[in-house]
Amino acid sequence: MVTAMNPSETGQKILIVDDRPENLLALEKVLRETGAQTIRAASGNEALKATLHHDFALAILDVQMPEMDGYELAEFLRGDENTRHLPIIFLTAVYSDEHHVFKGYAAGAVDFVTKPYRPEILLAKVMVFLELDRQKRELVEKVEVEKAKGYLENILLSMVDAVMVVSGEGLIRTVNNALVSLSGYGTDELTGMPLARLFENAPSSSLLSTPVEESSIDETKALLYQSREARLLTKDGSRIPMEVSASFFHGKKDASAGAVLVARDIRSRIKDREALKNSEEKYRNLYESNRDGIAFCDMNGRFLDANQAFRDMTGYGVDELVKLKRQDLRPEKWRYLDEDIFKNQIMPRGYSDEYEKEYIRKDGSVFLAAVRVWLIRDDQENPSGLWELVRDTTAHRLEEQNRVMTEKMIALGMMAGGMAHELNNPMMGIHVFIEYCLKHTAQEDRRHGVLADALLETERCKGLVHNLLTFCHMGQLAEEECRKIDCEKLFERVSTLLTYRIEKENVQVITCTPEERPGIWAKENSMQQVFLNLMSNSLDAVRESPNKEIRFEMQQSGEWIEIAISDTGCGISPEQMERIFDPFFTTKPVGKGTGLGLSVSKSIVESQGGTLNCLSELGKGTTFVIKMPIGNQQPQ
Amino acid sequence: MIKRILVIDDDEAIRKVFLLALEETEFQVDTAPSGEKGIEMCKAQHYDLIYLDLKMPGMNGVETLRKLRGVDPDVPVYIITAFWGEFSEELNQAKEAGMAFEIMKKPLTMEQLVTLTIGILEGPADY
Repeated sequence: MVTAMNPSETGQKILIVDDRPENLLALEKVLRETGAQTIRAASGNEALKATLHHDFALAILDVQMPEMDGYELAEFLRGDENTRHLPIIFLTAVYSDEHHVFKGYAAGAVDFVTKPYRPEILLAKVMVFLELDRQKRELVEKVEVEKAKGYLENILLSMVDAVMVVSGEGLIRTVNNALVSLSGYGTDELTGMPLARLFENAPSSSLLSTPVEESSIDETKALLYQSREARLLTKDGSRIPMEVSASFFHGKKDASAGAVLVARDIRSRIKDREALKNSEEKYRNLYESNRDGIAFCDMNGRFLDANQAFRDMTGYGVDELVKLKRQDLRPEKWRYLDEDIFKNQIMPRGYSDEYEKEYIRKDGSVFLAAVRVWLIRDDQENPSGLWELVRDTTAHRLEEQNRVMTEKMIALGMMAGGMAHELNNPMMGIHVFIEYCLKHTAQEDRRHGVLADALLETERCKGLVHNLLTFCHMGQLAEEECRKIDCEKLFERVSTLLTYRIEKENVQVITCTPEERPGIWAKENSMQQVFLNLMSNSLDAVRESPNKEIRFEMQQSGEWIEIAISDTGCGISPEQMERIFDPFFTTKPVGKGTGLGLSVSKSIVESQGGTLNCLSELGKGTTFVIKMPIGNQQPQ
Repeated sequence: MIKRILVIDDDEAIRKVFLLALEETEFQVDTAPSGEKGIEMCKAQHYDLIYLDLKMPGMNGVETLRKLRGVDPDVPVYIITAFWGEFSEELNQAKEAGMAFEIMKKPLTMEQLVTLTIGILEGPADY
């Protein structure tokens, strides 16, 4: 009897064909001893069908069958590429020469057993065929393995990635050229080297040495695709970042368990990644730090993201914006414009011109903004979203208004200045004419009094014209000549001019000057204007104060004289303080202040070599300090 | 001998002002409505004091001053003006060229005019 490997291990199958079920049963019983799997077929057709699903080692055919007999079936089997070499045993009832009827006899292994057969004879014949089949299969497998090995070697050698086979103990068994050149080690040095010595953060050797159980098939699959970053420790001590993927395998015996590791040099990828990160960071910064608001939304207008400026402008956080649409931030009256621009600019050409519209803030307030919108397209060039650049123009508007206002004031000032000069001629005429009449009218005459009143009114007009000229800051400074002035007297004169207001508002004016005080050489009218401005400001400041007090103090300090005009008024905030000397800056209601007083005062003082400064505390009061050189008759 | 004053001003009101203001003085006041007329009068007659306006149509004050100095280099010339800003450069040039003049600013009162005139023509007064 032929000794053979247990067919159950090789998985051999036998096809048995007989039209009578009892025969098939008997046959199965006999064949059970072979250990091979039997597949039944009750007809030729069934048998052919079975060959489509199974790879048989042997077919046992009953010759006498209705429809297709055993020989006919055998003819079919020989005719098919897949079953051409299938060995066949015919079971025939008649011991005769009739078996030559089978034309394919010469084409392959064929044997005959006559019925009734002796089971041990059939079994012996079957065993021979099974052994032959086994040998044939082994041979084919060997050839295939050799071929595959050749391919694999070529692949391994030509691969750019480093490849190594690692044993279950974590020792390197085989390596390719890429690993050799990357690591700097020779193939002989690498072979047998523990994986842990070659890599930092390599797949752990415990994983490698753990035999994979049948039950953990899924886990094995997971391990197959696992890849991670590890660093290759080269012979010269440097570290190369690599991406390592491992596919674990286990042989039939645990000893052959291990893994194939593929490691890819990712230095350039890391560099790219860093470059990308830097570039992304740069744009992120640009985006976040941009003073213009930037917002992204989808085609429905739903916000996706917005930068800091946009969030500040609107008062919404990103978490709130993503629940809103662009349309939600737009007052209804801008809807038509917005939709028109979307339809006629953004969609046809991908962007809009700059246009103005309003936005509603979270708190419900509205601001005006200049907007540009761009269309975002996806890879297929389909519109996928919008982004908009939003500039709050409220501040810009105010600036523009201020600028226009300033220009207007300057133009108005020049016109008023020109008129004031022109007025001086007729004013002189009127004044002298009245003086003349007055001189020639008797004191007792009632007309004398009327003329005296007319003269006073003319004086008032002259004063107004004079003030207008000072206000317009034209000529006056350059034209006026320096003379010795007593600042206290000047202050008293200014106080007299303001008597009406001082008394009406019940303000206490305190003068505190040394007995011996030098006169200063300065332009009297200009200085009077400065005092008048400062004093008027003080009167405005104390209006709401419970304790209304204005002090005038003066002291000499070397070649300088310091004049302080203080009030117990509302004070000036630090923010206002920065701007109080700016032309046209005023805290007074429209029509009340020109915003010129302090700037003109400062330039008057400075043009004469002095300084004007301000100290203030909110709620306590303000002090203006004028520092003037005493000077002499011909200053500078 | 009566001292003569010439007032050159295009503004009739101002000319009248001088006439009225100086009416009671012993001086003879003549007036000219333009620089050209003033020069003509200076050539025909000697004046002891000339009041001159700056801003005039035709020949302005400075041009008139230059011509005047050609006729009479010594007569005191008082420029009475509301505003000399736009003439300051020309005035400085004239001054540098050695032409004497004084500047007084409008408006002046009658009293001031009388005091000034007497002061100039009769020496320092006791005011």
